[in-house]
Amino acid sequence: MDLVSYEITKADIDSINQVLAKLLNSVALDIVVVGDEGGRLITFSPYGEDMFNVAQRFCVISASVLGALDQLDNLLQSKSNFFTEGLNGSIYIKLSNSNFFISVKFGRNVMLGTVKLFVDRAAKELEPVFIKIRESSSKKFSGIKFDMLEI
Amino acid sequence: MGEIFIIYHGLGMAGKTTNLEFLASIFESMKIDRFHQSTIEGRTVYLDTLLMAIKIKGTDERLKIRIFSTPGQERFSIVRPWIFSNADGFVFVVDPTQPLDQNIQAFREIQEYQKPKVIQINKVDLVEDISKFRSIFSGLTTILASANKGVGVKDTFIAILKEVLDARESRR
Repeated sequence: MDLVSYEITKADIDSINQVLAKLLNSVALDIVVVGDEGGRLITFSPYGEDMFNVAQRFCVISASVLGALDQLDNLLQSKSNFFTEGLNGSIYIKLSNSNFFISVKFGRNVMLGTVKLFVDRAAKELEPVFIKIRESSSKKFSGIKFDMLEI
Repeated sequence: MGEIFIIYHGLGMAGKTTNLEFLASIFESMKIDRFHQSTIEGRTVYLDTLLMAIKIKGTDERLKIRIFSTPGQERFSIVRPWIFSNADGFVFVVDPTQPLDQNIQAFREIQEYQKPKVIQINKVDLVEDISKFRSIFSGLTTILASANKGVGVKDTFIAILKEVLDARESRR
């Protein structure tokens, strides 16, 4: 069961992963995650089971940052991107028109301009996929009942 | 993996974070992550999150549960709609040591969302009479709790989880 209003197919994930792989080949990023405005992790790269929790946390916090920025929208006029710089690295988040976002962490030796250029380009390339996902209503619903849970 | 997003809402210091702390402990084996962005006084600022994955019987699948508690102070009301709009269900943590009208005002923030709601009347060990709080929320599943002792914490979570899943099932 998925309680999300849209449905993502394996083909959608593969399409997104291809773009993320190209993005990672173009610019040296530590991690890139794709999520939605509700903090649901769609996919991430480089993929590894040991990276799942990191990606999950990065996704939730990125969505929360965007959620907070939403409240500053009347001051900023646009909440489509966010950047912050830390001692060990920086984070850039790009929000698509479809309310999916790409969030990346990169090292101090990587130029912000380069990151913005390639992430924005990836977001543009992914927009048709995001639109397709948003337009899909959840056709498949394999319901989970409470008594099916091992709790 | 399916996913459910549950919000714990209520006045500041009602016991929302305490609920999450106990849930993280009770369901330790199912916990994926827990993080809490707080002030030096321990007050939640924006993020108080518990991520869990519950195994589905007879399968290798897991149901992912994301639990958020909200920053309860009134000044944070401007940041709450984003969180609320993405929720699948709400637990409203009543603080009976605070005035009824303040609790009602906080409840009104989630009232408009047509999602399952469970009421937890917390701190029942600190007040003599909770009847006015019970009556105001009659019609909703109500659990009595002393979250700082862990009492009622699991029951509340089970209740909202069941209501969310039942609501989804009934819409099929």
